[in-house]
Amino acid sequence: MEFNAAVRLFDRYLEGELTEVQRNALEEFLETDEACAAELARYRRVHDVVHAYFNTVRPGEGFVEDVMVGVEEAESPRKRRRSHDRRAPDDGGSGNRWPLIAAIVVLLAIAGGAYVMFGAGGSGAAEVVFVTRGAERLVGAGVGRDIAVGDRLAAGDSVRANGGDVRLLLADRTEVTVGENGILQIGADASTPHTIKTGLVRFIVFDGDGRFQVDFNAGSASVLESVNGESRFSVTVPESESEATTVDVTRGTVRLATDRGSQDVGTGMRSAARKNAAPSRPVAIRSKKPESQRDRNRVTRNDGGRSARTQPANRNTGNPDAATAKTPATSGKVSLDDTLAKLRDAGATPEATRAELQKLTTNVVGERKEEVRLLLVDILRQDPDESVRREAYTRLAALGAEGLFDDSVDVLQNDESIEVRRLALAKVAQGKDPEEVRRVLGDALLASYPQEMLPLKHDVLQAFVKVVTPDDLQILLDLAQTDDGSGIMKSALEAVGQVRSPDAVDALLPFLRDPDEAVRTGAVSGLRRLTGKSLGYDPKGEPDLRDEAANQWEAWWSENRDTFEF
Amino acid sequence: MDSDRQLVGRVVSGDRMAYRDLVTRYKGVVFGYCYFLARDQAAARTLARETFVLGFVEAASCEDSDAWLDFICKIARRLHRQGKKLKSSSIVSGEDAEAPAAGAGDLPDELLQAVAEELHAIDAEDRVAMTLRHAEGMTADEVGDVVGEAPQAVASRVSRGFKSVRDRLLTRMREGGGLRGV
Repeated sequence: MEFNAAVRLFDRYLEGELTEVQRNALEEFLETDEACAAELARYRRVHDVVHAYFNTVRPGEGFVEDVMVGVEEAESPRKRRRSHDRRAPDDGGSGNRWPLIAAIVVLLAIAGGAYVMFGAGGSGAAEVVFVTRGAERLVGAGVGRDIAVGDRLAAGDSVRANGGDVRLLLADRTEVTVGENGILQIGADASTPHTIKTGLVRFIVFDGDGRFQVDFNAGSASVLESVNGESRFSVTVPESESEATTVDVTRGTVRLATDRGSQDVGTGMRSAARKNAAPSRPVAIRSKKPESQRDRNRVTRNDGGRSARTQPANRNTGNPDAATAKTPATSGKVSLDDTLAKLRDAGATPEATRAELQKLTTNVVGERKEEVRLLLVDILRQDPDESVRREAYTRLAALGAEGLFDDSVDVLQNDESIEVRRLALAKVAQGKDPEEVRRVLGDALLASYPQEMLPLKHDVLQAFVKVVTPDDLQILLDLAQTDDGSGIMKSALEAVGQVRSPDAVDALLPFLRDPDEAVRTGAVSGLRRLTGKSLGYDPKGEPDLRDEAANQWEAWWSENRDTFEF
Repeated sequence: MDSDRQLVGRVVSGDRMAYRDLVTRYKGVVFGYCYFLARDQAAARTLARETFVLGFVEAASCEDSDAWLDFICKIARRLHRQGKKLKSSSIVSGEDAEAPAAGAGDLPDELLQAVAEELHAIDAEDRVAMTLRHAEGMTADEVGDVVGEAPQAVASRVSRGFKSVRDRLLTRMREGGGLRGV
């Protein structure tokens, strides 16, 4: 054997693929040829290194789950922002509270393979690992310290989310998100449920085949231990300020109880518990969506206190006897009930539904108004026909019920039609609280959009710039780096020109050197809006001329930053 | 096993389970690429996570479902180029996410980065086959199902890719006076 022939065998030798005869021949040669042996040693080291590389450079355990949590988060910015809006009480219990119904206990029994609760094997104490951002203050047993990403909690600890959402992962893979100002106490042992003291908490349970999401925003809630293969959750709402709590059950059975009585609510049914009353008899949820898309049990509360800003005046829609398209001002109780009954018919055609919606009176008050509102919201959430939802939203806007702003935000964030979303956007932009409008529109700008919805982003941006403040600069800059092909980057940079602050100029200047002409155009447009100057910068010009002009911009700004008046 | 095209089609319709399958399939490849960009495992993990998240968000803009991996790598490059401050995240279960597999030994960063550089200088399809085979532990048949080639072709790619990386590292050793840790 010669050197080169031996080297050609190295690959197969190292992989154990030589025949016995070949291997013996090679090994005999290696014993006599030091140079070849040294070459093999180098081959072997590099061979082992490359193998070791694949064993070392890996994302690690749980990476896929982490990504999917991120996907979930990326799709729900508004739900996180809602927790910012809630002014949950501090530990002393002062401040505004979400109204709650006295002693309502809701049990959610979820069928299916339970994969919830306290660690596999039920050894007792649950361990929790923080998986997300921020330093939050840990209160309760043993603490009062700030906690950070990667920290582990022990059973019995409480978490309060101070600076944003806190996301935890339990040892059994249940993902828990505690909204800002929410407080969650980890169950002390296997027999003690987790308790949500206040705020919004979301549980995502890995339930064998997939995930099951449950949102709790009704006050204290407990996650119970699995029983007989079922995952069970309990929601306890101890305070007595809510007007109503509504439960929609799409999976399993829910027990809704007040101190006046209780009611079991089965799959596909809805019940409501109003203040000082027993829960209502369950009614069928009107839904045309397939089962796979209706996988979330929903517990909602109507916060009469928070949503009531300006009580809309009752409107007289005209001569009750006039034969017009408008509904008479005072519909007889029977006709309204007839209309509602027909609208609840999930089997009706879109044409029939639209006709009933057009008959639906919006001149109702009190409980009937709420009843009409809930039905319209249900249609908006469930009906697959865009024209029906458009009509439903138009009626909802005309109804002027409490919660219209929140309902409009829901439509803006979730409807499948860009046209329906546009209707809602117009209403949102008219919201009475500018700060809330700003927050909602900011969330809407950063949300993800299907391709066909991208034009809506421009509409949202136009509404946003009317309420934008210097605090929102980062939102616009994030948008300016969103290359989704819709041209939003250019528009966002132009919008930065509405933020009258030196930080806006600081932020725009680097974009003058961007390789994308649209970005450069947006940047100089924004700068012109802020300063009234262009300094000869041409976004379409030759690169060296652009660089020179950009240098002039930077030099000018450096001289004038401290004294420039916007 | 569903093809990339089938999975991407479902992802565009909002099917997160399909996206989970894609992430599971390519996490090693994408992470390796992110490591090549970021030169640090923690940063690579964050970059890879954000890349995949953005990949889901922008899935509808993937023009060629058969080139989904190229699409994802483009996102990684973009994020890395933007130098975006990415949220750090650590994981997740009771296990230590960063613990290397048994037998890997302590490889210095310089060596890992050298391998990453040479790995990303070879033919892309060979690299994908190598990564799926060695990092994800797929059999040649399984790799073949993913990349759409016969198992023998996969074996050739893996072997060729391995040889290319090894030869490049050996050249590096000879010209540069060795690699620290080898």
